[in-house]
Order: sequence, then structure tokens, then C-alpha cells
Amino acid sequence: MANPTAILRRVNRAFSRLNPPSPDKVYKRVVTRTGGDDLTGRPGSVTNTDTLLSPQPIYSRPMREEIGLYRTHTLLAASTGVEPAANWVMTVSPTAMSINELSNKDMLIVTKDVLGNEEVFLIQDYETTGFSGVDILYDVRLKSIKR
Amino acid sequence: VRQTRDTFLHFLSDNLASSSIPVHNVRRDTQKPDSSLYKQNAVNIKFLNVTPEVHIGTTLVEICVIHVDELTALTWVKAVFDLLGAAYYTAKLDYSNPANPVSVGTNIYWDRNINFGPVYNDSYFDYRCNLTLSHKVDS
Repeated sequence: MANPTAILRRVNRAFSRLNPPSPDKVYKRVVTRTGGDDLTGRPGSVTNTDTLLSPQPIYSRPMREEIGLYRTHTLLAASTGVEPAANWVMTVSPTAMSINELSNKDMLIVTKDVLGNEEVFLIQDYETTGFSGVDILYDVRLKSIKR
Repeated sequence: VRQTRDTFLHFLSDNLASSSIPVHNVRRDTQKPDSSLYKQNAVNIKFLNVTPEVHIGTTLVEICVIHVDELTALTWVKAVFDLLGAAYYTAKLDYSNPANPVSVGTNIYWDRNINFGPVYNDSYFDYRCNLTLSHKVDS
């Protein structure tokens, strides 16, 4: 019988095989504020620490009809003008990010291309998939906030 | 305009701290990723319209008292009203150095009609009030 550690190893190998040769690399960013005043947003100093996710996650930009339970959900029809809460879905290995990092209020996701362009994402929510009490996948919903 | 925001936030936060009522500024800020979210069990302050004018400008502010318990939210509304209604103005301070705010010699004053209305939500109770702050536009 498979054990969760073996499944996680296979999942991590699958990440490496499935990832397209995209020039974009995905990082987790921890924002550290020192001194200053959080209430008014006058920080003494701010440090962004970017760490490359390993293995790299698989991500996609779901279209409107892919969000929600039904493809024809009336609330999500384009004519309503309703904007989906998340515009990227990223499947992340627990080896790359822990559950504590996903729920960290000062954690962002950043993609960077070879030209140095970066896009910053807010973590909106996440779902866990586990086996025998061990997490083996996280589906993370992201919202782009800065290009 | 920035001094008005900082002063109003500290006016509420510093005075409500003695009643253990936290104040949260709802704003877009990549340096504080969670600041764009409304917080439960807190007085949320969101700044809206800014109307600069040569003599007296105005800034519209939304005060959202959010608590999981309706009666506690009501108690907090009373505390906020008592504070706002004590003098209907406060001295404007420059918080460029947050540890040592400096008076700029002008005041911020607001409407005497302070009206909190409920905004329905399944998970918590939300009282909201829009208030127009009047102030000399310093910076």
C-alpha cells in the first residue's frame, strides 16, 4: 500500500515533468517591516525576501466558466460583469510551500521573467489534498495585484 | 491629505485602545498584503473621496464597526460616537516620524450628523458610517 511520503515524491517528480519550459519563475515573497507604523502605512524599512519555489508549481489562468460549480452558472456569466475573486490557480507541492506560509499574512507570490519583469499575486485562498493525514497538494487561488 | 488620514487614524486608534477596540486601516498596500481586507472584531477605516480645495478641502471616510456579536458591535458604535461627538474636531498632526508626531497648527473637523447603518452579512454584524472630514490641505 502506498504511503503518503512516497506519493509526495511522485507528485514532486510529476511537477518537474509537467512544467512547461516557461521563462517565468515562481517565487514566494515574505514582506518584513521594521519599525514604522503599520496603522498609517509609514514603515521604517521594508524588506522583500524572494525564494524560488522548488519544485516549481503548475499554474493556469482559469476562464470565467471554469470557476464555480457549473460552467453555465448564471452568476458567473460574462454579461453580469461579476469579476471572479481569483484570476490564477496554482498547484503547489507542500515541499515548495508549507501550510503556514500559505496562511502567512505577509506572504505574496511573485512571478519573474528573464527580462526582470515581475507580477505580484495576493493569496486569496487555498485547498488541500491529503493522504493518510499528510498533505500532498495545495490548490492556491491568486489575485494579481501588481504588474 | 496624508496628514489628515494619519491624524484621523491615530485619533481613533489611540483613544479606543483604552477600551480594547482595535482600529484597522483598509487600504491597498503591497508592503502590508492583508491590509486590503476588512477585519472582523475591529473598527475598519477606509478613506474614500478626496476633494482638495484652496481653503478647506474634504476627505470622505467610511467607518465600519464589524463584530461577530451584534450587541458588542453596538457597544463599539457608542464608543466611536462618544469619541467623535466629544468635540467634533481634532488637531492635525504630522506623523512623518510616527514616534514623534508634530502639530501642524490646523484642525480636522467633521459632520455632527453621525449615522451608523447596518450592512447585512451572514457571518458578522457590520455597522457603517460615512463621515466627511474637513481640513486645510497641507500635504
